[in-house]
Amino acid sequence: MSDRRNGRQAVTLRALSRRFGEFEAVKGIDLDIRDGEFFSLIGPSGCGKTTTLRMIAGLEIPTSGRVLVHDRDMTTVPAHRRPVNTVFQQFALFPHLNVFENVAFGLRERRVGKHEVRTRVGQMLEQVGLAGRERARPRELSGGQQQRVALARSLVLEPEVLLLDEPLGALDLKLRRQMQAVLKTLQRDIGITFVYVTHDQEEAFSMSDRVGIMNAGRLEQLGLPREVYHRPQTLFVADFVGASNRFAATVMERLGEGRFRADLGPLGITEIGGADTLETGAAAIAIVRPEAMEADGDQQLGISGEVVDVAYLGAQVQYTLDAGEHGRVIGLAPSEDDGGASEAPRRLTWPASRMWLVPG
Amino acid sequence: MSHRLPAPSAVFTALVFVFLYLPIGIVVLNSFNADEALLGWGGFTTQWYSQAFSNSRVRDDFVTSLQVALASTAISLVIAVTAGLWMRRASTRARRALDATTYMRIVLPEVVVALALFLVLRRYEIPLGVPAIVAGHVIFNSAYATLIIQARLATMTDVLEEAAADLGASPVRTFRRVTLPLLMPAVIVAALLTLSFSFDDVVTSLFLGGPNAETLPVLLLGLIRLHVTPEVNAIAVGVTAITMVTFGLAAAVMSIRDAAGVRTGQVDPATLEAEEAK
Repeated sequence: MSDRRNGRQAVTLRALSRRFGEFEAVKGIDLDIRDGEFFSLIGPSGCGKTTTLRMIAGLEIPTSGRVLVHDRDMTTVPAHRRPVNTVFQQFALFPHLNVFENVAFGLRERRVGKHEVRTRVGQMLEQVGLAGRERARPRELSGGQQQRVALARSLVLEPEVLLLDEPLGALDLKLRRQMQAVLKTLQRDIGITFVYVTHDQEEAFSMSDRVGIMNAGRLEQLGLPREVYHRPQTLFVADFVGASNRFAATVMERLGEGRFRADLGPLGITEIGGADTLETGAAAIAIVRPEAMEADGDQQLGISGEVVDVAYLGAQVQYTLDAGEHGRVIGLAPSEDDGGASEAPRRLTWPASRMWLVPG
Repeated sequence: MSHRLPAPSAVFTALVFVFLYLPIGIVVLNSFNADEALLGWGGFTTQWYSQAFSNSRVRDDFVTSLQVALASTAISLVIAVTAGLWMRRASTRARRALDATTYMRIVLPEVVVALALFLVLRRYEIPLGVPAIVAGHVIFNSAYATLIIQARLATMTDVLEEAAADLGASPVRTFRRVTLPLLMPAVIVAALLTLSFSFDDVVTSLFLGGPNAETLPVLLLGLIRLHVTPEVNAIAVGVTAITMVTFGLAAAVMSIRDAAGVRTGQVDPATLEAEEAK
């Protein structure tokens, strides 16, 4: 696998578009996915992420644009001749074949010898923890096991890129968490590029090297999970990846790369970071994540109000304050077993460094 | 309680037995009746069966019937599978048109279709015979087969074929390794039904057989016109037995499929999850 880690792009998309009748599902996406990385495309349903994945797989033909895999143009290559494999949302195991034959399916298409098929399928099933279940039919397996057969069926072909279309969507929460760990470890071990599609940002963040957030057929932002969370470039991204409190703002001056002096109205005038696209004089929205709020603290910025709700979430306590003209403000604080002695806060404060401007 | 009138459903069932099964029962009984005039019970015999089997006309007609049934079934299945697969990709309008032709072939009176075919063949001086009968049977058999195959395809999603393509199977290989095996139960049921429909058909076979080709049911019709010999009973029982065995097989295939739970290509993972949790 090391020969693949030479800085080439595993997948390159250029001005990729797909139209279904009047509906533009994907509107000109440019994307470079690095070799060996775990990349996730996330977005709400209908944002075009699955269509994008299917165009990489060859199951969907682009209306325009190009798809390259390791610098080879795949745009017009049919699915069965592409060096990529897919793990489908509903697993799509062949019900008339047993586990062994499901995993051997692709090897037989490549006319791999009988002996080698047995060895490779055996090793693969061992790796995903299904040794001994060769003769079982898919319907005799649990969801988690079916998922692993689907994974084995694709990985046994040693694809250049593995595409995963919401592969954990059909599993319950506990199994999802378990499989996330399995997938992450597996990807690190074998070093194959994973392109993962999900609507669950937490799932994507926990596994991915980089993520791309899609909205209405466009790629809104691309970056490390940390960047996307703390430095969103649009309000959509800010909202999609987590909860945030919003305050109306005006950009007074652009101080440099991503630094602004902003007028936050009643909160005053302060220097904060923000999206690169903001111009002087632009209307903007300043956001603060709930966990950046300190209850009754003495940080630089703050807001007072009536407590309307205190919700105990286990690891954290969530306070909801009615802050008059600012509407509702939400703060998260670590929970303590104080027997309910501590009073609900009247004021939430936060440092200016935790505030971020996006175009309004 | 014991003096209550029988329920209407019981009366109905009794009537069905009397009008449908009683005559068949008499035919079966008479096929073993030694009394040649069939006026009373003359004792048990199997001589009518041996007589029928040794009759070369009966044997020839049996072979003709079999040829017609097998050929029309094979052609009907090819048409049905092709139409079914094409329908999945077709536009709504094309699908409606195809549906209309399918139902039309079932709804149109068989005698009209057979007569029309007969007149066309005569007009173009195409000889009657086995190929003509086969063509006539294909008209209705392919319609029944199409309905059965379509019902099965409707439960199958594209995703399994996409998975096969994704794993490197060409369209032809995908059909052979995934689509056809999944369609197989429906193909078997369709085959058994069309075989039996063809095997006991009289109208089409009579119109299109001409002097050269005679099927077993047509022979039966001819035999009773002259005078009813006990041999007729034996032939009728033979036809009934063959038809019932094929129907029985079709029913068995369907119930085996149900028992195995292979109605759809997909399994609901939630069910299995619940099982694993136990």
